[in-house]
Amino acid sequence: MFFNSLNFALFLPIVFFLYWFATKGNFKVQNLLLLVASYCFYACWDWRFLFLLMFSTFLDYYTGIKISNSTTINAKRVWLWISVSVNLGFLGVFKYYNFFADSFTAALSHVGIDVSLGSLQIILPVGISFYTFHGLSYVIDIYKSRIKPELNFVSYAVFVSFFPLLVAGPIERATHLLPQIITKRTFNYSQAVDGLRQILWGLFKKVVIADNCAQFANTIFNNSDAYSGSTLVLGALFFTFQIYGDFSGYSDIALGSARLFGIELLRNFAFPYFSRDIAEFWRRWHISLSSWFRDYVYYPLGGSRGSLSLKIRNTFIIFLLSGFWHGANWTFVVWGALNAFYFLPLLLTNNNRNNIEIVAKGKMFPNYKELFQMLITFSITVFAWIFFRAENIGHAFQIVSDIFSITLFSVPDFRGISDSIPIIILVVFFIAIEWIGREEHFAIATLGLGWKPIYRHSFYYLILFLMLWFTGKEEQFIYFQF
Amino acid sequence: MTDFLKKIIYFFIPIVIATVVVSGVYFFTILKVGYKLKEIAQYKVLIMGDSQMQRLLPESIDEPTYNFASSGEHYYFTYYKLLRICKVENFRVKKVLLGISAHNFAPIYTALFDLNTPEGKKSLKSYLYFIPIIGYEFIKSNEIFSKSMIQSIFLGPDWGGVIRSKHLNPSESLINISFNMHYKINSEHAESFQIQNLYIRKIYDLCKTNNIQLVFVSTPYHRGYKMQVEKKYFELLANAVNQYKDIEYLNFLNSDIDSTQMADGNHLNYFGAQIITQSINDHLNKHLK
Repeated sequence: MFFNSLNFALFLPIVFFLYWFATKGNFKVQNLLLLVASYCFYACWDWRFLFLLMFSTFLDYYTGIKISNSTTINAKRVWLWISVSVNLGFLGVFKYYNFFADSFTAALSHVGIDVSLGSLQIILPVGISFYTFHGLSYVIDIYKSRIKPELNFVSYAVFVSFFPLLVAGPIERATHLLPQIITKRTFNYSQAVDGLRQILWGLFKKVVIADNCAQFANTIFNNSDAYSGSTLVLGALFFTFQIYGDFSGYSDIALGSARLFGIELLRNFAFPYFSRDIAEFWRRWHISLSSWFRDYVYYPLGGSRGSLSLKIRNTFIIFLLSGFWHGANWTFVVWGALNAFYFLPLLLTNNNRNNIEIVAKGKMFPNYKELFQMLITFSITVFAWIFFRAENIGHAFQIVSDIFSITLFSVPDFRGISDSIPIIILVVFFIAIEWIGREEHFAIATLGLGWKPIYRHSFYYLILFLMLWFTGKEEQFIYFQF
Repeated sequence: MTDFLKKIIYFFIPIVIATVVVSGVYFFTILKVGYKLKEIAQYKVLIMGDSQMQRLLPESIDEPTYNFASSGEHYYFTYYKLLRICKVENFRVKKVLLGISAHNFAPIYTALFDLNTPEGKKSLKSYLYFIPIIGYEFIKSNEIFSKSMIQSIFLGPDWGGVIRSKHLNPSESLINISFNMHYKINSEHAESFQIQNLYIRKIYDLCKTNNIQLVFVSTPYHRGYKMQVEKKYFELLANAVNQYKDIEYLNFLNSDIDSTQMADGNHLNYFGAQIITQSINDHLNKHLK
């Protein structure tokens, strides 16, 4: 069941009404309802993998209690490693086995040894990277004595499986979400209306921006050898807005849906394409994953303290892991490495925390310096996305070499270019709205709140109309595959 | 909570009104379509298929005949059109002349059955009123609220029907346009002959159940067009036809039609249509009475 499907449009109000009207405000009953709804939501994709989700949930619930009850550090460590190994084991088998087997076989064949490790004919369970990381953060936090284990299984299971975040995040922390689950929630009008606005904007990003850009990005990337350098740049730009619209749109729908149930999820995007340097970009892009790696990998490794070589090592580890988390393909690893190369100079010159606040805060326009910085950061981000989108490394390098050729200065042309003009106009409209709302937690959070209701509602109807009129070819959310 | 629900209801009132209006148009048109189908169901012979079959002249057939073929018609739509006819009380249809040819297995027909392509959107506009609105292969639930759907509702159905063209001696470029449209539309659209075959089977079963005599007809191609068609498409055609030994197959692909009888690469003009329809009529009279 996708967020942009009719099924979800029916599912969400039904759960909403049952949640607030059939449970009489009893949060334990509400949690049970959320759990059942979340499992139904997941089962709509593939019910067989529901058992994997349940097993993973139970494992982390049980090991969490065991870690807490263990009296010796060794016993705690054993339980921690059981949880970490099993969780990462599942991830390894389902997500990475074929990649490692193929890479190993290819490496051996290069030195003249022919072996076959075989490949597994399995589907990647949707959301496995997300719920595995939920569970891991929970047991690690218990091990580090940051939190106490949750004894109520239903509450814990809701923390892992809450349907808005189940399949593509944000990657929640027990310290943030569990306290909300184990306390009574009351209906908050502003929160609910805000949630609806965020869902509306998320749908617009997905249905209008991402799905339409996807059509053109696919046309260009799938036939890249037939196109000029300038067309390939256009393709990369389409993909840049596709992936942002797709994933941040998903996150907006997730956060907005959770708000309808009185639950605040972690923010996942904060207008990353307005970043002035790559460090700022990574504080604004997929925030829940970046902060997860920061807290559970980067800091334990020593972070940015220590010798120069340690700093470089830690930076590369975190970016390569981040790339690899996205999928079992060398393209993601190179994408991660490229970002590490972008980031290192900032870290080594202590300039990685220069731009904490949003650009041009309190002003309508950025100054020339900020504009230049944004354009540079955006350009290198677009360049990195080529590796993320390409089918394989060879494909990516082919595209890059075609871009940096004389054809870069030709007029872009591809099948359907005339159809792309309204979409380019919509992307410009989208950037403008995002710019106006960049100081809020999502672009239209406060836009129009001071207007007369008729104008404000007209604006919302306009968004709905654009969604109807410009519905692109339905694409699966990109991050479902991760 | 009350304020919230009130606000939601107020916000959705215009949307509900718009939905009611659009639904009203849809259901009103459905009624009109029903009346027209009742009329068509009174004919003895139906000519069905795509634009090639639209060239056949119903007046050249002795029995009361209606040309119900339509441009770019995938067998999925033919099946549902025929199903609607069969559901009419006391329908009188006894024979269906169904067009079948090599191009029916070409990539264009995959696109015509894919709502994400311009060709598929054209199919929706032509056939919305003949097909199940959701839950089937063509329209997915999320496509209910789309521009194409609304446009299709207001446009009404495409009834197809006979086309009489007096154009003759098509140029090479015109022939190439037809060929490229069928076979070279987009490399992403592989041939999906399975769906075509599936619905030919369904049409066959439907005819059997309703005591309708099904006749396959391949109208001629222009030489310049035929030469360009890959052999595999003729094999797909032969495989499809050979599955139905009990069905009469009138194959005019190798007939002596010359350029003066063709309007373009794959469509007969009026003069060619007269010859072929007459020949079909003779055959019906001789063998299929």
